[in-house]
Amino acid sequence: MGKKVLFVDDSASMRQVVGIALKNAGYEVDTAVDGQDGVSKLSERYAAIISDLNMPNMNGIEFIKAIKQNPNNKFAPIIMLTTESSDAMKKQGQAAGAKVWIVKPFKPDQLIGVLGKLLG
Amino acid sequence: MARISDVNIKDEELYWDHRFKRHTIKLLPGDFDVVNGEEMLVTVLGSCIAACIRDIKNGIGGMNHFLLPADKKLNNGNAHQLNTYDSDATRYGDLAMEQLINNIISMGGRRENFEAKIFGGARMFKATLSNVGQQNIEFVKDYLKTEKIRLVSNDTAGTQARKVYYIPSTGDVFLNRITRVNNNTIEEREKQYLTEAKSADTNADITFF
Repeated sequence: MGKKVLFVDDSASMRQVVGIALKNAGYEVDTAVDGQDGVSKLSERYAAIISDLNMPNMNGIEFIKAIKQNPNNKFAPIIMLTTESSDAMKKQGQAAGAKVWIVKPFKPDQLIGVLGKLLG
Repeated sequence: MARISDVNIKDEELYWDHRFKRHTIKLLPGDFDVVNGEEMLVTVLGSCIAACIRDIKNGIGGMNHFLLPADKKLNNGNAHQLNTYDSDATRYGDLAMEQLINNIISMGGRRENFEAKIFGGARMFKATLSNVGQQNIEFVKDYLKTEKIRLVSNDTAGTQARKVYYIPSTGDVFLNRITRVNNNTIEEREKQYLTEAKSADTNADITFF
């Protein structure tokens, strides 16, 4: 059984492509459509959580904060996957508890490589 | 007096259009802009695509202007299949669409109120760029379908360049077909943009904290 990761993005096409890449790399994948939906999945324990930043209802930064409050997942490494590249936003992400910040566009192999480093 | 957006727009992109009597923002290949005022967005398209998306309830919306490079991996009608995300082509397109959509949402637009209009994708150039237009059209249609965004208007393909004026606050579009091109500015601009996009893509921006 592969390690289980949660992927949160409001874009359906992102959920498709990243979901497939993760499954091909041997991970089990849950997806959520925004931070709020992501929080509802946190009864599960994940090996890692990958999240977009700009999302309706609850954005990525608030979502990270919620993960850090969750006993099941507060130690799960968090990867932000976003179009946002400013240092100010990265600092906010780091302060909230993100481990890695990947700016889109990215190659699925690069994401898999990062996951491998964190979980290997 | 027209309501002006409270967004940062570069001076060189902004002008007063005398015909339409509106503040107007000019987009070049690779650009996107979102407004919450009554401005008009304008761009000239050859093989490139412009997606115009707005929230029909509050009029917040914008336009992008992009071109997916030709890609052997992409067959017609297959431009956004799952296993093709490894292609540079699909990544550029996804990014262009996501930036536009994210900015509309962050300014107060709601995904469920979105409608889209798409333009461009002409087969106007010789050899190198010839079938790129069709791939681009397939990509954007497929993207909108996946994202469940309603496509309400569509003027694509053909052999002529287009000048597209879009007013997000009302949803109105004015389109001129450019029948005679005196020089190859449009083609050169699109090629230049492709070259820059390719070189920018080689290294992903990844930060470990």
